[in-house]
This record gives sequence, C-alpha cells and structure tokens, in this order.
Amino acid sequence: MSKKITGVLLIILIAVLVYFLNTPNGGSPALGLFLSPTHGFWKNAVARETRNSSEEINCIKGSATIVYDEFSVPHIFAENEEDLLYALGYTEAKDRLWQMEFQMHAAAGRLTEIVGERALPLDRFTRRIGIVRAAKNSLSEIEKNPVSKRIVDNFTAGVNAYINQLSDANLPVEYKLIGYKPEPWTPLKCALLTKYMAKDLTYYDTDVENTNALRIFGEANYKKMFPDFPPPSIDPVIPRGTKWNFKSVDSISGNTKAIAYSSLYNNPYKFLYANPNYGSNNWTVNGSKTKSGKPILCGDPHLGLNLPSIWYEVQMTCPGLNVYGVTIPGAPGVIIGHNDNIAWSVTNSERDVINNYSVEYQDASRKAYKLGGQYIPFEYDVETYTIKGGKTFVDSIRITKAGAIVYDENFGEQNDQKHIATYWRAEEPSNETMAFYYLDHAKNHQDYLNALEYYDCPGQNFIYADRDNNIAIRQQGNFLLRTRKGDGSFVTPLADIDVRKLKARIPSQQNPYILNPERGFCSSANQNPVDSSYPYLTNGHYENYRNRVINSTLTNASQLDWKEMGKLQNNTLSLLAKEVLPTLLSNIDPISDPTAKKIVSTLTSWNYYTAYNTNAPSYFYKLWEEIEAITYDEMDRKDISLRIPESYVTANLIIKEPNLSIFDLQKTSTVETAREIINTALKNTTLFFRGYEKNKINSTLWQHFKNTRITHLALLNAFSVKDIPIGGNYNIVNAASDKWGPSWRMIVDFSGDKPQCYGIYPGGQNGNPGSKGYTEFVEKWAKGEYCKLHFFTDKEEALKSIKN
Amino acid sequence: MLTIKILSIALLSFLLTLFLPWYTITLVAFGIGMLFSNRPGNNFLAGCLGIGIFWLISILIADIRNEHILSNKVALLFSENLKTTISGPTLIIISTLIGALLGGLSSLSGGLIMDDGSRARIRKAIKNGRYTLKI
Repeated sequence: MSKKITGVLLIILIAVLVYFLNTPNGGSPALGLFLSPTHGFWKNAVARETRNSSEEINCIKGSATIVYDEFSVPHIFAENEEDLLYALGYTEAKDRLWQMEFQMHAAAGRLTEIVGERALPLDRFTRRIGIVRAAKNSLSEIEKNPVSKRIVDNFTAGVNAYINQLSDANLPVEYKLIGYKPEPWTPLKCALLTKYMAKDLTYYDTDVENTNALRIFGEANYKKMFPDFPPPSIDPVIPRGTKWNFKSVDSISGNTKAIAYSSLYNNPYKFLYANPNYGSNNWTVNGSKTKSGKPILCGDPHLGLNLPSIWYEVQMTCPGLNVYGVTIPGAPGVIIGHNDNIAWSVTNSERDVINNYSVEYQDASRKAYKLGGQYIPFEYDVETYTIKGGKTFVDSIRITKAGAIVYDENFGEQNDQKHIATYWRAEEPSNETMAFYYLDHAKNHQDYLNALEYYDCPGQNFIYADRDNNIAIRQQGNFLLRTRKGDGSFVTPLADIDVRKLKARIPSQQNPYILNPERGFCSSANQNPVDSSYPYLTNGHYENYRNRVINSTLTNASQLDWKEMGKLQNNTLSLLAKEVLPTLLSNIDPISDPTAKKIVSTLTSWNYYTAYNTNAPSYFYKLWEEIEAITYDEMDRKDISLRIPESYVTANLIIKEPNLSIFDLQKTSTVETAREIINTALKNTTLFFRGYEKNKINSTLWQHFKNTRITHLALLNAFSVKDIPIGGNYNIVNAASDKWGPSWRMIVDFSGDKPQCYGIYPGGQNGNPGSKGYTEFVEKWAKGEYCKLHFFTDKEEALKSIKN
Repeated sequence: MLTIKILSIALLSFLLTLFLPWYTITLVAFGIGMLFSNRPGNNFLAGCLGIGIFWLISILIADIRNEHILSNKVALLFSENLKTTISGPTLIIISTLIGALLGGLSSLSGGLIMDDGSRARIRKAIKNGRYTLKI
C-alpha cells in the first residue's frame, strides 16, 4: 500500500514539474517546452535551407512555383496576379513570419500584448501620434480601389495559409522564446506597414526646438544656426538653374507674426522620434557616362540595422509582370528594384510634413478648443491596450481638426498652456500600394510618372532609368503648400488657422522633377531638393556632405561600369573632416602631452578616409563630438527641448565666424571663441583616449570605436551581430554608422540583353536565427562586395539553374 | 526486459509527440512503467534512458546538422540572462537531463501505482485478447 502512496505522490510531483516546465516564468520561456527536441528551439535548428530548392503551392485559382536560388531568394512563377500575390504572402511568411508580425505589433502600439507593461509608454506614443489612425484612413482608400483591394486580400490569404499550416512545434523560435503564437494577418497590417515606414522616415520634427531657439537666441543667431539653405552653397537634387515649367498656385503664408505669442516647449518623448540621420543615396547615369553606352542605376537606402533584415529579395513573375527587387516583409510587392524595362530606387525626401499648433482651451474642463475664431468641441480617440497577463489600460486622446494633442496632462505635459496639436501629413488618406503596383509593371518613363501619382507618404526621391537611355528623378509625396515667405518651422496658434488652407497640398505635378538632365546623371542623398527659385517652401532636415561627394565623382567620371558604381557606394571619404579638420589643426595650441601629440600627428597625416582598421576616424569623430557638446552648452537643458545645428553649419561657423557668441561658454566669465573650444575639445578627447587605452576597454581602431552592429528586433544580443569590420559613418556615402547604415545596396546595369542587378544587404533571406542564411550577406556587405543576382525570364530557366 | 522497456518508451514517445504535446513523454513512460514493472530501480532507469536516449539522439541530429548555430546562440542567450556561462554542449546536457528526469520519475510512479497481482491479470488479459478497460 505504501508503494501506491509513493506512486501517487510521485504523480503529483511530476504534474507540478510539468506545469512549471510548461509555463513561462517572467522573462524566461517555459523551460521544458523550450528545451524539448520535439517542440522547443531544437526544432528551429534547421538543417534544410530553402537554398537551391523549389516548391509548388496551391493558390486561389491555380498553383504557383517558387524556386529558391543560390542566395535563398524566391523566384515566384504564377499564372495570374491573384496566385502571385498569394504565393508572395506565403513566401514572406515562410521566411519572415515573426518579423512581419512583430513589426506590425510595434506599428499598432500593441507591444504590451507581447512584452508586458514596460512597453506601455512606447505603445501610447505610437497610438497618440496616429500611426493606427493613419493606417485606417489608408486602408479605406486601399479598399475603395478594386485593384489594391485584390492585392492586399490575396496577399493576406497567402500569409494566413502559411500560418494555418504551422504547428506549434514549427513556430519561429522567437514565438517560443517570448511565449506567444501568431494571429491571423489582416489587410490593416499591410496599411500599417506603410505608416510604420512613414513614422520611421518622417516623424521627425523640430517646430518645438525651433520655436524655443528663436526665443532664446534671437533671430540673427537663429538664422546663422538654422539656415534655410546650407552655407556656403548647395547642390540640390534638381540641379540649380532648372526652370520650373508650371504656374504656381496660391500658397498660405505668414505664420511669422505668430511667433511672438509662443512660449517655450518641451518634447518629452523626442527619443521616440524618427532618427533624423536615416538617409539614403541614389543616382543614375545615362549612356554618356558609361562604357556600354547604357544607363546604370544605383540605390542604397540607409535605415536602422536590424535582424531579421528590413529587406527581403524576391522575383515576381506572371503573364504581364516580371519584376525583381526588395520588398519589406508584410508589403505586397517590390518596393525597390527593376523589371525588363526600368529600374528605380528611393531616398527619403526629408521634407517637413508635420506642423504644430498651440491649443487654446475654452475653459478648465478642456472640452473645447478655439479654431478660426470659435470654440469647437474635441473629438476623442479612445485607445485600449491589452497588457500581457490580462490587465488593460485605456487612453483617451483629444483630436482637433488640425491633428491630435500628443502630449497632454496624462502624457508628458502638465501645463495646459503648452498643449500642442500635431498635424502629421501621413494621416491623410493615401494608397501607396497602387504606386508600387504600377512601378512594378512600368514599361517606360510615362508609366513611372503615372505610378508616382499614387504615392503620398513618406515622401521620397524616386530615381529612374530605362533601357532606352532615359534617366529621371522626382521628389514625390503629399507636401504641405507653404510659400517661402511663410514658415512651417514653428509652433503657431491654432486659434487663427484656416484648416482648409492648412491641409492644402502642392499639386503633385509641381513636385521637383527632372528628366534627362544635361549633366548626364541624376542623384539624391537627402539634400535640399531645390534651390530658392522653387516657388514653395521646402523646409526639412537636409544633409550636405554625401550629395557633394557623389555629384563631384559623377561629374568628373566617364566610361563607368558597375564596379566603379560599387566603389562609389562604398566610398568612406569624410568630407566633413576634409573641410573642417585643417582649420581645427591650425588652431591647436602647442602641446606636450604624448597622447595628445599622437592624436594630432595621426590626424595631421590622415587622408580623410574612414577605413575600419585605422585610428584617425576614432580621434576625429570623438574630437568633433566634443566640439559640438562644448559649443552648444546652451542647448543642454532638461526643462525645454533644443537641438544642435547640423554638422555642416557648425563646421562653417568654425571656419568663417569663429568669434560668434555661440562659441562663448555659459559657465565662464571670459569670452571664448572657436579656438578655445577646439583646444578644450582636444583636452577632453585626449583624456578620453588615455582612459580608453589604460582600461584596455577596446582598441581605438575605428571598427571597435564605432561598433557597427545589427541588432535583433527584440533586442536579443545573442541573435545580433556586433563589431562589424566596416568603414564609413554618418555624412559619408558609405553611411555605415553605429546602428544604422546602407540597408540594401543595389546596382542595375542595362548594358546586356536584360538588366543585370548586383545587390547586397546586411542580413539574410531566412529570418530564423538558427539558419545559415540568417546573416549570410553580412560579411560581403561589410567588405563592399555584391551578389550577382538572378533575374530569370521564365520558370524553366529558374528550375534549370538550381539543378546545376 | 530493460532493453524492451527503454526501446518502447523511446519509440512510443517519438511517435506520439509527432502530434501531441511535448509532455506526452511522461504519459508514455508512466504507461510502460505500469505494464512492465518489476523493480523500482529498473523502472526508473528504463524511463530515464528511454526518454533520455530519445531526446539526446533527436537533439544531436538537429544540432549536428545545424552545425551548432542555434544551440550556441541560445546558450549565449541563457548565459546573459543567468549571468553565467553556458555552452552549447551544456545546453544539450541540460535538455537531455530534463527529459531523462521526467521519464524516470514517470516510469517509476507507473510501476509503483500498480501492484503485482493486478499487473499480472492485465498482462494476461492483453495476451489473451480479452482485456477491457474497467473504470
């Protein structure tokens, strides 16, 4: 009998053990489940990769054949577009399901459902700025158009077909680790993705910072620190002197008087804004500049470096369509790429598409606000957040006719005198799905222009080349109609605004555009789109180094081939250093410290190229960081938001106006100039590197100092890659910085019978961290090498290629 | 006898977990323990080795074919969370031990819960094809 009792006790013990081993505990996964070879992560330790294989899947009307080439790139062949989109959804999910869903949880402000309460501030910010509102507006636009509705519906069906056949044992490893399961994909998620990218690329705004700076530093200093056009001259996307062949429409003007009312503002969640350094390069040369006499088109969008990679290569083929390029998992089509006839790429426009308006409440109840001379009751966006573990949180957001009040008494701003309504252009209904659909199908230059008519946000420089030797670039987006006299750069009172005018757009056909310029090339690198002859305001956040390196190289070049283009994409020249370093070095007082001497002599003999295995870039960028920090000591305030000027502005002030009052330090009674700043910065830099070497933290080589890293989306160190040997930095053509960089380098050469594409991205096709494909391209990417990509004419050619 | 028990536990577990949850292994080991019990030690060993071998082989096949990519990454993940150093091979041992322990305990309890008389009757009935489950 005692045996039976022991047996029963043992059963209870086993039950308890199984319960604990099958239940996630805090941050760690259910151990038994996770470590079991039948259902745990061992199942994700796949041996079979998709490389050089093919599969046939049943779709809606028929079937599709998917051929995976030597780089695990799927080439999808279908008989019709319904099946093609279905197969695309299926394929994206097969390689990147967790990423697709996780990114859209982030976009929808639903991370609390996965990671719990700590994501609540981020989720609230996401929903308050209006990504979900924008996506819903966009979805209703998508569903009004039968073509785009068909696209997202079929794509959604394909994704869900993959999810439905997925057993628990075969879930991507991140689901097992975090402890949740995929939900069905929806068309809304396709719309969310566009707005997620819009947030990433356009939700950067400095109205608050500008307003504060104008008040604190005065108009004269403000104009020196934040000029409309970079000094001393600009090289805009559309070459200077280009004539505008249109009659401009009336714009609204004159917000300048409003500045007098403004108070000082804070921007408590500025750290969640888009990274203003995200930029991109693209250029194309026509036959006059190439060996073959045919155009070459290049593009490398710069984005946050993450794993799984933001991009996913694919070829989509059905009668009437054959396109190769990259898509973003969750997007129903190729976003950057080429077909038989044309190639295109994008860079961010960096235009300001956010306006901020100070709100005047009717009374202390804050139920109505003043607009156009009368009080209007607020509308409310009530958002419910489900938090992992079962709790919910409800947030109510006041909506005006000019956007939402993002910061209020419940979120970051107690003082209701400082409440601001934020109008974000991405909230306007748009249907970018159609733009990419028509681009994928485009046969010529007119098709390209027609496709862009559908494209609104985030505004991009669409560069174009075709096999008939045409090249073009157009900055396309839904841009605010403002005159140069007025200004969209400051917080202005909502009370006086005419909402109809506030939402007016620049007619799409009047966006900056050029076809076949005389100089034989088009290019863009996030610089000013136009010079001051363009009739509308084009304020934004512009870069002023990469474009000049690219343009001077292309201007002087001839007889180009794809390899030369690859060299330019990987060019690591720091033009900032080249322009400012001689001035810095000439201002340095005599030094005796050995470390300082080493730094100065290394910098003196530097060729300004930021190679990963040299020390000079580490010294220079540390010195520059110190110079900016010391110069702008005025900006170091907790109570209000300020921003430091662009590097090119600071560099120009050091060279041209070293006695400007901005160089005077706040805490000293003496008057400082740029010279004192430079010497103090050198002292700090010396101290820094002395400590660095003494503690043997790391070598001072640029690779380690910069630490270019590609971080897993859930910030899991073990699934990330660190310390990548790659040169470059921000403001450099090879923009490989610490956490962002060239996310897809593409070169399309039209010299052959069909376009030949060379491409590389810092990641791999397979999103599974247990797969060899996960980081497959990283090493090549760092070395500046490319994959010669396969653009198959038909299924037979594709199947034949994997047999060899 | 021990070999038969080990093999049947390993094989049945493999088949059933193809479509049932991972912890089905405990039910298999328990059942085999009930049916084939002699000594508790022998029983524990059978469950331990049955599940242990099944898990170890499955893990080794996956890990070797994967060239240890994922096991090393997950080991690093655990190391960082637990602030200690766990290697890929350690992870294999831990995984196997969890399976082996559960298997051993289940098989042992299966044997203990069954007295020799009823076991003999059941086995005889099964042999003669006249066994019906009485609840």
